[in-house]
Amino acid sequence: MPGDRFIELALDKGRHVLDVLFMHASEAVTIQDRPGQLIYANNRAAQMLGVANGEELVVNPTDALISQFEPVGLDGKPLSPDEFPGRRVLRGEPVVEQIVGYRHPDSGDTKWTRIRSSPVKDDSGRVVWAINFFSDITDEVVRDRERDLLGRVRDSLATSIEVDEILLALARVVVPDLAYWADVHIIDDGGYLTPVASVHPDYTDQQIVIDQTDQLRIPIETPGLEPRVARSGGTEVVRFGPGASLEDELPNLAGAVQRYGLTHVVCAPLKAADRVVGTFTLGRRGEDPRFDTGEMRWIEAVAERAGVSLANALLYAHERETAEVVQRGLVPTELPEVPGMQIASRYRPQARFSGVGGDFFDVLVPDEKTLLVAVGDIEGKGIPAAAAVGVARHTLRATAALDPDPDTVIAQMNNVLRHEQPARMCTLAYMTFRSDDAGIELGVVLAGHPPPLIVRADGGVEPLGEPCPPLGFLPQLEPHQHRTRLEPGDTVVAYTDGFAIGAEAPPESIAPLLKGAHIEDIEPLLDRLLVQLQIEEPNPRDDVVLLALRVGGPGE
Amino acid sequence: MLAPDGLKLDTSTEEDVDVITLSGEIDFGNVSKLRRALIDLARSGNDLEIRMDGVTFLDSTALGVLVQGRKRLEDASRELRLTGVRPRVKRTLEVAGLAEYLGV
Repeated sequence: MPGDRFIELALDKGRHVLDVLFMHASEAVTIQDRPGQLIYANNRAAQMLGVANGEELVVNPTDALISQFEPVGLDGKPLSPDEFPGRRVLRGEPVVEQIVGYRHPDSGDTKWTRIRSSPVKDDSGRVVWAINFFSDITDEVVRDRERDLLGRVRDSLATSIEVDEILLALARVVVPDLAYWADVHIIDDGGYLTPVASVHPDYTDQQIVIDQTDQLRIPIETPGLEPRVARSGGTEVVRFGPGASLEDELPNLAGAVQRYGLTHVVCAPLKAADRVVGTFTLGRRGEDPRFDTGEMRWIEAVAERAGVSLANALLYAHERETAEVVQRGLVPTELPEVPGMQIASRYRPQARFSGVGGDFFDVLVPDEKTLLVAVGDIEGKGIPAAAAVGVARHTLRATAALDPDPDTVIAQMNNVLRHEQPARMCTLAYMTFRSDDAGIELGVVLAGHPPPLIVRADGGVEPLGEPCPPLGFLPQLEPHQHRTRLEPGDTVVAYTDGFAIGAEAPPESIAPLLKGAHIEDIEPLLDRLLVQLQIEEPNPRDDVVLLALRVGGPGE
Repeated sequence: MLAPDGLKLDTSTEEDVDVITLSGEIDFGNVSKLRRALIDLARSGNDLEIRMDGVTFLDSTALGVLVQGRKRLEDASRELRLTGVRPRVKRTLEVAGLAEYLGV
């Protein structure tokens, strides 16, 4: 028997034949006739729409019932009845499967259903019925969205340990998809909620902007939404209807609320290990739907992840600040002026080591005929390494001031570093430039450090020095001093092993880049080397020091 | 296949010699794995061979860890040697003045 005839017969016999088939189906089932009228619904379908049983649903005008809800697509945009799968099948489309959300206009909650509609044709092939199967996939959709959103948050947050970047990442995830406006406060050391970012889609270019015009610290004990959430650690929603006092709830944000026309706001605590570190507030305007239960859960989960990242970032920022203070004492803040010699330097820290690797350098002028240059790399990263660099650099300065002879300097530094706790290996390239009547003699001693390169005035490139083990672990070192005469226009380039490109370590990684260096000024030369390194090795493993010294002034 | 951090490490014991077989690039990001293995093997009483055939890069932290390993063995009167060192890595060890010390 063709399907259409069966259904016709079944309907003629009353509902019970179809009920026998569909009554106990775990899915909701409806049948529409050609004009789109509902002619059958099982009880489950009725329940989904809040009606006692299927019969009642068929008797009632369906459109009025459905219009209690706001049907939306997965993208959140409203769906017209014509876009429903049943209507599409009746218009001649083959089997249609589609996800439709029914948003309750009061609660803002959305029920998600997967609708599968199949056409039933008569003998002539004309579509006469549409059978629709509905499954409730609300949990699935909410879970997927949550996972997706959290994935995006995690990805965004994982890429950064900078506070500003985390806030921006957070903002990009929620604005404008989840909220029109978002605001982040951090609790500072003094117990004040400090606004750190306020974001909304920019009216002109839809970009996220950080708007810090509402800079105002609020004591955590004050009334109002954000301090209250900061104290309680629980998420809260506030809706601004007639009679609700905006000023009471958001004393600090009244301006923003009015400016952006916000009507409902949710505030979640930013937590790290159960401690509230700040608040995350999102706002929507009148025309936006209310925050539903699922969204509230996302917001809480996002706030939790962001809280941990922010707490780390703040700690890191603090550590880096300390490190920068330490480091300012470890690399010369300015290079000495040396007659007849040009000197340039670059230091590029590696961000993941709190801005401090173990690289260091120093340029000393103990007397008018002597210039001493040291470039080194001490084992370890971060603040402990910075402290060790301090020991190395001060030993170097103190020793060289008394006796700049390489044997003395190397022996003394080795001795001091070997007895540090913990002992750290340290590489060093130590160069002495001595002026005499005939010009300049350069002496180079290496301890575990890759050799400086000389670019002769005619463009030839050679390494300087012979290898010897690093400082800090052997009782005795026997460094070899390499001596060479320098002519006007000769350029010495020293560096640290951070100048590695892929698996190629220096000097092989840097020597080819010095072709033509003899005709470049040394400042642009070092910039070019850093740019080339950045291009060839976009993911540097280590920090880098670059030094260039050229005999003769720029015009000579 | 390499581990996600770019360093593969296996340990074994062959005729009273502990063997660490390494492959990949060893740098600050993954060197703790090697440090851990060297500490774990320090008490075994055997000499140690580190097979470097698959190692394509060592940074200064990796050199530091190898030096520490050698020192620790030396304190226990045991020997360390690196075998199968590729030319480019050998060059790194030579530039650092460590080829002889690390038994290459």
